[in-house]
Formats: sequence, structure tokens, C-alpha cells
Amino acid sequence: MTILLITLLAATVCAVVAYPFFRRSPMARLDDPADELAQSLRRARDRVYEEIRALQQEYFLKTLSEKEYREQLQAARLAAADLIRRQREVQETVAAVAQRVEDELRKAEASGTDATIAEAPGEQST
Amino acid sequence: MGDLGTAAIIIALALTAYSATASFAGVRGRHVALVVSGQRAGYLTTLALGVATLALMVAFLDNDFSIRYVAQHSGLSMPRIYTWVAFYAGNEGSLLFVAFALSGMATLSMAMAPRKLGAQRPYANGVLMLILGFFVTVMLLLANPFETLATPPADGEGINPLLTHPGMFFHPPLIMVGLIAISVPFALGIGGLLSGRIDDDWVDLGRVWGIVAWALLAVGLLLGAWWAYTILGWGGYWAWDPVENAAFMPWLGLTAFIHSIMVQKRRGMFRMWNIALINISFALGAFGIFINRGGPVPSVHSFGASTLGWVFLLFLAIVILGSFGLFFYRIAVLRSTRALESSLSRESAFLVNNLLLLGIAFVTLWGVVFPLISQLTTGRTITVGEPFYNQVNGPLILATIFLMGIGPLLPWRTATWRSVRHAILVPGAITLAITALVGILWAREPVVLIAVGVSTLVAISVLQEWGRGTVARHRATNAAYPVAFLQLFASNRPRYGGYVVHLAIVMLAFGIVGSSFYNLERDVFLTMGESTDIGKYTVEFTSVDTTTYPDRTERVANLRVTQDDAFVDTLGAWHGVYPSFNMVSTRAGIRSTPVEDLYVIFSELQPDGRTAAFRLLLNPLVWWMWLAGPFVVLGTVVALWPSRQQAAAYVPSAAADGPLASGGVS
Amino acid sequence: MWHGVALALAAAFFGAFLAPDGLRAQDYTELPPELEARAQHLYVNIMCPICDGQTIQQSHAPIAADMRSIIRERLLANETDQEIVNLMVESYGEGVLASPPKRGFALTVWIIPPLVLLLGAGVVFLVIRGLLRGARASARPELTQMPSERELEPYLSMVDEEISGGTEPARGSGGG
Repeated sequence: MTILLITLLAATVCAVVAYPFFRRSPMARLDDPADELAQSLRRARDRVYEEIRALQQEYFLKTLSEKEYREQLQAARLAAADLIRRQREVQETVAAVAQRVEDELRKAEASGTDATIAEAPGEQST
Repeated sequence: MGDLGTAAIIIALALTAYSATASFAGVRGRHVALVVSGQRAGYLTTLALGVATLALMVAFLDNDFSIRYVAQHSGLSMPRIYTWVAFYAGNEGSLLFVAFALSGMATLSMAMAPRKLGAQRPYANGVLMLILGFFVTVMLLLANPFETLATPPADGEGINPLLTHPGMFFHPPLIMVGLIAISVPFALGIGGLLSGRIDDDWVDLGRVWGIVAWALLAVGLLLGAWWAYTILGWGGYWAWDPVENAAFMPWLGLTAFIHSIMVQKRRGMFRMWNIALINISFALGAFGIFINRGGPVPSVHSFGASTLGWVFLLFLAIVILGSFGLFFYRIAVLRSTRALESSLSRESAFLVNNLLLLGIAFVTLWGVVFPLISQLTTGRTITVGEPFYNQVNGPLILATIFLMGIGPLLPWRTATWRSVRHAILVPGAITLAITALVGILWAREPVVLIAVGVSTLVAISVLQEWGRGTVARHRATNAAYPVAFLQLFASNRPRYGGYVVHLAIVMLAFGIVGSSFYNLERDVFLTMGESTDIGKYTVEFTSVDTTTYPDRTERVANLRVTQDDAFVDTLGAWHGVYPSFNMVSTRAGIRSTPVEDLYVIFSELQPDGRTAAFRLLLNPLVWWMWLAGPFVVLGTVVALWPSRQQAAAYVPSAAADGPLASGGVS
Repeated sequence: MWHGVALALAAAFFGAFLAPDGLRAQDYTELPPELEARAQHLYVNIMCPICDGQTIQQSHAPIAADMRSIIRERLLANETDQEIVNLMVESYGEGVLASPPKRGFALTVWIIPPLVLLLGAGVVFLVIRGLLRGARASARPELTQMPSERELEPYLSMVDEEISGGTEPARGSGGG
């Protein structure tokens, strides 16, 4: 009985641990640098929004003077705007690279030479 | 059962080794399947250790005395319900308990970790598995709960009478789980350092688990104090005993951490501090485990056998070297890119807060290790007891409470002296008035007045904000006052939950000051029918009820309490003798009101059966300390309650005539 | 772990039953209030020599009761607190003091904490100053590398829209 339970446990463990190696379907990438950067900028922007919310609450509760509120709100708005700008830049750069790769591929195909780029352009950016 | 248990522990060890290796190798080699497999192995440790836990429980319930641990900690006459306590009553079982708890929390936290953590998650998992692996290894090699006896005895030794109190169902597990829960924010922090990702995404999860560990320890410490008060019977609740301190110090570190991490969340600052704080908290937790099991310091709690001490000392050394080595290695990346705008701001207040809390932790640590130091250097053991801690920690604690009062009044980024004066005017005035009143009517000692002053400041500033906020919301949304109050809490749960906890601390301070400075104590002998006075009460010893059980004799001394000849209450002071343990245990008869506790310990019954020794105490305001417990829990729940995704605008549109409505600030 | 609790406390409590004739009856001397307060203060400051880490106020052992009794007698005999403490130290050794005396090697216990705290305060002071200097060197550091307001103009309206609740920002976990 005990042997049976032990074997069952060991078997379950081995199966679950080994399964990821045998899956056919593609798995999510760990870290896509471009995507990572865009996401991190988005999160930074959300943090600025949280700060703005908190500023509004403090102003509402009168723990912040009008002058201080306006100053800090302005700083936060500018910071958020800059983050939007940078996020756009990243996205544009990534799109530009993808476009460039696609153009090169088409040129290579048109001129009949073997494609030297192994991966399809779709995998370059997510 | 013994074989199943041991096998399960071996499997758990294999899993931790594999999980740590796969996680680290997988994330470095960018091998996704390896990382996923490693994570799953981590989840499976919970299954394996769960099986081991079940095996031990079944062994207890079956009275399987062939297993040494079962024979040592239970008996045929032990009521079933105490199986839970017997599980962690001894070294081996408590290691299994801690390992299982850690495994469960690792699984939960890793499953909760959002995708945005990216590479940080496998590193954190690896660290958690290394810590878990340590405990499982110690269990397997040095303290196996499933070790068998060659000749099983017919009956076990039974459960310790001290453990048969409801408090012991919760106090030890809460402390143990609380201490090991520090592993989670620690692993997240270390994971961040290892992965090189020092941005602030781990802050949310780190904050949640930091608060969880903090709350577990807070409730555990309060329960321990309550248990000491009602069971150990000296009328006190905290003795600065090394084992108590061992849980108190990491709790202080965690308090600093969960406050300081707010600054990182809000302003992106203090990254260095937060890593350092969580490293310190975890190291103190590891130190606490060492103290509990190593027994190098004399204590009421200390272990008999201390063979495991060196192992935990080694673990502590590795933790300190590893975590701080990594900290200094990555220090350049951690440096703040943001700046402080004013030395008078909430950010600075948090820095001072860190200093004070770490200071209290240092003083406590110093007091714990000094006897050892003196032993090693001079050969004499110098005792460091309560008076030392009171004199040195007392002022620091009062300063911290003061900071708790003015901190929330300071704005972020910058504060002018004028704005601070404006914020503090009303609460300060009320505080001074109340303190003066207390001074005139009751108290003369400066310490008491200062304590009353700072506590009142905290209470008034919290209540003021609650009041103002509720009124403001009521005006803006026309909701009824109670609804507006609840809406206020819902608008910023971490903040208002935190305020509830601050109020709980004030209650605690209130109770401690009252019972420390104004208590009365008397030891008396009374024959039946005789009475004595304490404070304004008269206590008469009326009778004794004796009940004999197979393993113990219980006596209850009945006492009649009157005040100015008017009947107040009857108290039963309990006294138990356990011949097999050569032990006596007592439980106080307590009459508790918000004003004071009347507290009677039945110390001993004389051979004539009619005279008894009693200790009577009058402890003012202790009731408030126990009230703090539920408030700590309530505040924690509110602070951790997830908020729905809300629109960024705080103020309801009806009242939005601020700068935004006019189209922007020029 | 808790086995140890039981063992240690057993040693303390069991002691109460070792003495053959138990505790002496009716020898509890009552003290007037101001002496009682002094007595309580002394109880907390004297350790029970044979109990692990308990003061004579906490311990139920007979030796603790004896010591408390001696203290009461001496208080009634108009001795000062210091004289009584000295008597205790003579009879039971220096380890009977609950907190270290403020002289000799034991003085280090009292000196180190304030020193360390001063050191810590110095660190905090330097940290604050360093962070402040970062602010003064460039009035708003987050803005020095940022483009001018005019360049950011088009994005500001997007920000305002998101703040006023036009678009809900995607949020992860945690409250504000």
C-alpha cells in the first residue's frame, strides 16, 4: 500500500515536470526586449497616473495647497506625456525595423537569391 | 506511514533541487521549457510535503508509537483535537510544518506573479526553492519526523499541558508561518537583483507578501502576549525574552519595509533601502530561527537539545553574505535617479522611520547577544533584562509613535514650514489640551505624559482626516455620511487600512502605559472565608473545587469579588498538577473591563486544603491591548483588499472644477 | 520547541513542590503604598538566580518568594533601594541584576546603542543631503533630459484625457 502511494507520487511528479519538454505547441517567449520596453513604459505611465490620482485626493482633502498641487500636477503631466512620447518612439522604431526587414526580404526574393534571413519578419516584432 | 513520509520528504528534496537548478539554468539559457518545468516542480513540492504532513497526521490519529515523534508528543489519552498542536510541538514536526507552509506560500506567490515580472519570476522561484531545500535537507538528515523506534512503546508520553490552551493552537503556527513568509518578498527582491531588472514591477507583489508576513507576526506576537498573560501567570505579557525578541526584530524590519516600499511605489525612490530592508528582515528571521533552535542564549523558551544550532547559524551566515554581496554588486543600478526635493517631506519622514525602526531592532538584537559577548570576552554572563529595554527602546518607540502622528500630515515631495504648521495646528492643540488634562487629573510621570501626548496626536490626526474626508465626499456626492465614510475607505484602501492599524498601535500603547505604570500587585495567603483588598476591590476566597483525571488533578479556587460591599463578580483561578510531567500549570481568574483587569493566580494549595497562596494584580487598561488585535487584522484586510480598476480621476465629475477642467495648467 | 518551554517552566514550578514544608504560612508582610511601589520596582530589577531568565517578580519558585520577603523586610527597616540591591548582589552574585550596572565592562551595553543610533542618524542625514543635492544641481532632474513643453504639447491632451477618465488605464494589481 505504502509502496503504491510512493510510486504514484513519484510518477505524478515525473510526469508533470517532464511535460513541458514534450509539448508541441509553441510556448510564450520569456523576454522580448522590444515588447518589454514598451510594456515597462506603459507601466511607468500608469504609476504616474496613480500619483496624479493621489495628488488629486490630497488636494481634495486639503492636505496640499493649491500652488503645490498645481506645481506637482504639472510635473506629473509632463512626465506622463514624455512617457507616451517614448512609448510611441519605441513602437515606431520597432515597426520601422520590421518594415525594413520585409523590404529587404522582398528585394532578395525579387532578385532570385536565396533568402539570407532565416526567420520570417513576423517573428522579429510582436 | 513512516516510509511514506520519509519518501515524500525525499521526493520534495529532489524537487527543490531540480526546481532551483532548472529555474536558474532555464532563465539564463533562455530555455522556456526548462523554466516552466522548474516552476511546476516548485508547485509539486507542495504536493509532496502535503503528503508528508498527511502521513504524520494519520500516524498521530492512529496512535502509531513506532514513530518516535508521535511517541514523544502524544498519548493514548490525548484528545484528538490536540493532534494539530502535537504536530508542531517538537523540533522535527515544526520543521515539516515550516517547510510545508513555505512551499505553499511559494506556490501561491509564484502563481500570483504577473507576467510582467518576466525573468524575475524564475530567479525568485529559484531562491525560494533554495531556502525550502535547506529546510528539507535539515529535516531529512538531522531531524526526520518519521524516524522509527526499534521497540514501539505501548503508550506515548502525552502532550505538554502548556500546549492545551487555545492560544497555543494559533500562536506558534502564526509566528512560524510569519517568519518563513518573509522568504517571499526576500526572494522577489533577490530575484530582481539577480535578473538585473531593477524597475519597480515587483513592488506590488513584494508589498502584498510583506504585509502578509507582517500581519502574521503581529497577530502571533499579540497572541503570545495574551497567552503569557493568561497562562504563565506573572501578570505581565512581555518579558523581552530572547525568543520573543526573535520574532519581534524581523517584525520591525518588515514594518520599515512595508512603509518604505510605498515610497518606491509612489516615487520610484528608495530602491536601495528597500532591498537592504528586506535583506535585514530575512536575516533577522533566520537569526530568530537560530535563536529558537540553537539555545545559546538563556531563556524561558529555550531548547533542551541544541545540536541543530550550528546549522541555522551557517544558514544565517550564507543568507547575510549572499544577499548583501548581491546588494553591493548591483548597487550602481539601484541608485536613485529621482531626487528629494525637500528635507521636510513625507519621503524624509519615511527615512527617519526606517532609522527609528531599525534602531529599535538593533537595540533588541544588542540586548539579546550581549550576554553571549560578555560571556566570551570576560567569562561573566551579564544579564540584560527588561529594565534595559525599557530605558533604551522606550524613547525610540515613543519617537516612532510621534512620527506615526505627523508623518501622514506631511505632503509628498515638498512641504513648507507654513503648510506643516497649518496641518499640525488643530491636532497639536487638541493633543496638548488632552495631555494637560490627563496630567492634571491623573498622571505626573513625564514618560506617561509623553506617551499620552504622542498617542493622542496619532489618534487625533487620523480621526481628523477621516472626518474631513467623509465630509468632503458627502458634500461632493451627496451620499449619506456613513456611505461617504465607506467610500472614503474604498477610494484608497492601503492608506485607510494603514490608518486602522495605526489606531491599533495607539490602543496597544495605551494598554502598555496603563499596565506598566499603574499596576498593583500583591502576594497573599488566604484561608477559606478570608478576604483581602486590592485597589478598590475586596476579594474573598470562598471554596476550592477539585477534579481528578487519569493524568492530572485540577483545582479551581472560587473567589468572590466585591466593591464597597456590592457584589461585582466571581472568579475561578485554575491550578493543575501533572504528576507525569512533574509540572504545575495555572490559569488566572481575570475580570476584565476597559478600565482595568483584576487578575488572580491560584499559586498553591496548602496541605491542610483550606489555605492557599494567591497573587493578585490590578492591571489598568490591558483590555485595550487585546482590542488592538482585531483592529490589526481589520486594517490589514482593508489594506490588502484589491481595488477594481478605476478611472484615474479621483474627484467625482460634479466637483471637478480644479485645474484640469479649465483645460490645463499654464 | 515547545517541549523546551514545558521543561524550563517545569523546573521553575516544580521547585515550588520541592521544599518539604511548603511555603511559610501567614508571613506575608503588608507594606504601605509608597513602599509597595518601591518593592514592585525592585522585584522587576532582580533576577531569580536559578530560573532561566525570570525576574523574582515573574517567578513562582520559593527562592524568589524568599528574596521578595527579604526585600520587604529591608524596606520596612528603612534601607535605601541601592543598599537592598547591594545585599542581593552580595548574596547571589552580579548575575542577579536584571539590567547591567552602569560601570565597568557592562557600561558598553549602555553606550553602544546611542552611538549606533547617532551613526545611523548621520547616515540618514548624509542620504537626505545627497538626494537633495541631486535636486538642486538640476532644478527638476526628471525634466533635464526631457524635451521642452512645446514638444510635449500634443501628448499632453492625451494625458488629460486619460486622467479625466476618458480612457481607463490598464492596471495590474494593487491599489493606489
